[in-house]
Amino acid sequence: MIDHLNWPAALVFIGFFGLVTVLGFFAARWRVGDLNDLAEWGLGGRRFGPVISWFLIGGDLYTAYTVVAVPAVVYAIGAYGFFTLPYTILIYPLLYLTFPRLWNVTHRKNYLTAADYVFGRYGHRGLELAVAITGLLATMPYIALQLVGMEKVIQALGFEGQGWQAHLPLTIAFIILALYTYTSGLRAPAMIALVKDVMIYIFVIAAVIIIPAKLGGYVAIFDAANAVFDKKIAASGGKLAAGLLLAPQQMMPYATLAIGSAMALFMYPHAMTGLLSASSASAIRKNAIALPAYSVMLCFIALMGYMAHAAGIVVANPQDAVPQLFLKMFPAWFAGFCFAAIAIGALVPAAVMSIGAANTFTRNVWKPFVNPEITPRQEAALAKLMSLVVKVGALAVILFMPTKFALDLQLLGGVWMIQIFPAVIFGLFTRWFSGWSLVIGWATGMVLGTCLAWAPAAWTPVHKLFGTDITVYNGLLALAANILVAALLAAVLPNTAPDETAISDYDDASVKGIAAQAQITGTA
Amino acid sequence: MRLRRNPLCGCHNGCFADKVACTQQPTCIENLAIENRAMKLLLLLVPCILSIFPVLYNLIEPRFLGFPFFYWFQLVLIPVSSLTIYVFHKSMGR
Repeated sequence: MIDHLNWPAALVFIGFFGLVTVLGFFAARWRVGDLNDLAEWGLGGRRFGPVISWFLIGGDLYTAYTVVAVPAVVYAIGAYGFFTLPYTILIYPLLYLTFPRLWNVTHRKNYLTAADYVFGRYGHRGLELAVAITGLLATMPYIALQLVGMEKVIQALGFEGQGWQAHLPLTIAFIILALYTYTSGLRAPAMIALVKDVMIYIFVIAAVIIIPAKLGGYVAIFDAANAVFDKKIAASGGKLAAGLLLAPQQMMPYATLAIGSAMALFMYPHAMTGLLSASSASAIRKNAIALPAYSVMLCFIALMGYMAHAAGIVVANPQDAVPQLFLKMFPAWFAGFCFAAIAIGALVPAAVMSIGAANTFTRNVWKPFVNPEITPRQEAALAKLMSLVVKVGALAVILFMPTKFALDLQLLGGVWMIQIFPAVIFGLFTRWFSGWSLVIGWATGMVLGTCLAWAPAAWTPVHKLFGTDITVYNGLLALAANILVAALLAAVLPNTAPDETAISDYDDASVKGIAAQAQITGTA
Repeated sequence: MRLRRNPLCGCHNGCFADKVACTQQPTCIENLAIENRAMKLLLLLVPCILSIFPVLYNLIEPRFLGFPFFYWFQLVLIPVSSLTIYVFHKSMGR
């Protein structure tokens, strides 16, 4: 089991893992609040200022799976894997323009989830349930994939096992994670994110300097990757689309996948939880300006796919490329440090995702449909329990199902997640749509998106448009149908339901205060 | 109906005043503020629009520090987009 263990790497790895475990339990005492209250356990009492939020949201969005999967795609087919760059360029203006409004209204009305807000806005239980279920469905495979990222680095440490032993380290890590999430709530990942992000920045900066120096500079790296792709294309008889540039037929998928993924990202319960735990709308705005630092880091992580080619690493599964690159390029102890960074990078999003899913289940499924009389204390207790259930579920997916299944589900999850975009984001600016029109639009998008993905051989992320050569990301096609149906129905069924929110609830308190003051003093 | 733009002050109020007189009218100030906001929004969207047209940057040359254009262009676009958000943020008086 541990005969081939890389001991220096493994010891550094275990050391850092131990450190964050202590931090995770200690976090319960950080900025002490009543952890039997759901807003305290599940949103950290909304007390994270711009700096803590930067670490938490960054750690939450740029997950371990991203660190492993993006360079894997780049290693396999090249330029196409860089769609994450336009994607990260699109998300922050969107964040800046929409989320401060959502934060304001959720803060004033004490909403904890997107579905809470949607119910307050449209007064429609069906829509609330639709938003909640979509989030839950999409989050489960995403947590499972964090485990895949973690397992890759544990394997790279030289751990081998048969049968149930193969997943032993992962199971232990996950039980520890589940326990401190249970006791400390969102404070645990917030505190661990500080350590994780510093570690990831250290390893990326080291990799960006040391690896090219050893491989003869970036020109050599790009040339080596190009040579590998040329060989692959020749071997496939010219069928494979891979290379340093996009093939013409890859351009539309590249752009539409970026747009679709950007629209889906902040709909996920974990992104929502990270953002709503900020202490003010202004903290979110500052983060929209500062978070792109992580995108620069992501770009260099993606380039590691090319560095692996230049280092002559040949692996059957592209996801092993980056771990093998570290082992070859770095001394063992530093490779262990990098692996620890990736594994801890899985803990932060996995914790936030399980908290987001637990909040959603408690507030938007259990409370309205099972037990409307639930007390705030019972609410918090149920959410804590649910965070355990969600994690056990994700672990079961990894232990008992092929990884491919989790991967397909995660791709499909993105398609599903965009379908709540009209309900959540359009709602911040207009109330023209009605509850029923949005529910039926959502159902149309969900069905269409799932059908489009269903191909004979494998799930496909993109689809040709009406028999032409224009290939578009399924999520966007389904979203277009969703909006069309919702808009047509809203014209027929006008919105007559009560609205808990007022126009002023969406604006910043300070701006309102200044305007009110100006009116009093007569300077407006 | 949208009135013709007054070239002197840039407003659409049909006031035909010179700039100073026009901008003293409350409706005119409001219109200018809306136009201003639209212009600023456009600024915010420039990096986004550039990034979703890969046909613009799907090139090897010119290289920079060994990076083909496709890579360094997108890499530079990240801080540029952060900067435009910052400029937008400041211009909204926050």
